[in-house]
Amino acid sequence: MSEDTRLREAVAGDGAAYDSLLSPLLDPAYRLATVVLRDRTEAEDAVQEASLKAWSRLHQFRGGGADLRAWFLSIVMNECRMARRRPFWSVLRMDSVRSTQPSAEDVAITGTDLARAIAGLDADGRAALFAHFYLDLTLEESARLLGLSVGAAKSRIYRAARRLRPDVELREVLER
Amino acid sequence: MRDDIKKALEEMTAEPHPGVRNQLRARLAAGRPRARHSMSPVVPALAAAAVVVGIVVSALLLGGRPPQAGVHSAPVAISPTPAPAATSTPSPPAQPSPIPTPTAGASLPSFQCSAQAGGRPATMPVTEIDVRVGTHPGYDRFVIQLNAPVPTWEVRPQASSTFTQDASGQQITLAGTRGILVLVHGAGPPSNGTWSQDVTGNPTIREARQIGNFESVFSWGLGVEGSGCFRAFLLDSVPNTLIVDVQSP
Repeated sequence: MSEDTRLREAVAGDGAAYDSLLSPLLDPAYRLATVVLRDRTEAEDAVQEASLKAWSRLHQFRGGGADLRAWFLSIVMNECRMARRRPFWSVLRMDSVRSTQPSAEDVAITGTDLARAIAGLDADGRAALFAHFYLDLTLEESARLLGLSVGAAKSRIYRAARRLRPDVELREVLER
Repeated sequence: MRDDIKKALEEMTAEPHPGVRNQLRARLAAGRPRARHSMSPVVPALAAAAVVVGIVVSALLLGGRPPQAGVHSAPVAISPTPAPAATSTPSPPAQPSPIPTPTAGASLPSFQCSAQAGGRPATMPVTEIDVRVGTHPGYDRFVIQLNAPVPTWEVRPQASSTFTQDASGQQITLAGTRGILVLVHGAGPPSNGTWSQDVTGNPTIREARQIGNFESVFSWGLGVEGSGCFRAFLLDSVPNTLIVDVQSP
């Protein structure tokens, strides 16, 4: 069954069809929420809420199955923004983020400093890097995810990258 | 640079716990939530204006003077009460005590079938928890009594009485046809090495069992009969206590 067919069935209320569409999106969604919120429980909650909201608003979605990923991730990002506005955001636990990381030996082999530098960025910077470098979204999709214009998204990605490597050029950041 | 950053981001994150997918599936199985339709800000303004005009016209027709602003007040529904502010000295440890009963005439929140939450971030560690269940006319009462002010909490209904245990991810099915998940954020390790015993045998809350105590989140699963609607709130008269009343069939 094609993605577009499942999408039509999900819009009509078929939970199984929606589940099959959602399933491959959960991994990037959860990772995005973890990067932004830096708390595993909060990330799980954000993804769950986003999943339910996306289902209830699926009839508003304009596009094919291939566009669903960017649309869903923008809802996840919005949930993350809302979570950060909640009062108990101020007591988030850093240990839960650390527990999602690989062992010390693994980290030592694969660039701990870079991960630490990314962790030191603000949430907007981390989200910009994640959208562009990890999710490989286009600039237009990244802009939508970040709630910015394309120009502002490009600027944010570049700024965040320069915090990691001050001599990096825009061309190098944007090339694929 | 792209590959390095991608690798670093991958290291900073992890794939979702299997329990997350299962929990989400259970929520999806409960049916599609209704979309909230956005309302133009003009609509409530027009409605309010219509009400005011109606009151003024009625008053004039009855020969009275227009009511003064602030005289009329709508009944206020009680919502889940925030936790009391923390004091500098910890409260006495939770002691087994009778199930708190509602004061005669006291108005309690109405039963709802959707998730409820409240409380404030923990300001002192919760190290002792006492859990009890009691039966009252129309509902069963689940009581969590702590030795500190109730931190942030959530109570979520679910379509089945199967829960995913933290942190093992193992499924556990309780008695009853529906489930209610009670989460208390900010609970520390228990001072006596364990939490309260599991509770069974009540007509509506058929079984209550600790589901997890992981990463400062303490969770209980309730296997219930009936609609699974409930009200969750704090009682001023019984400090440090979270109450979940589950509506009887």
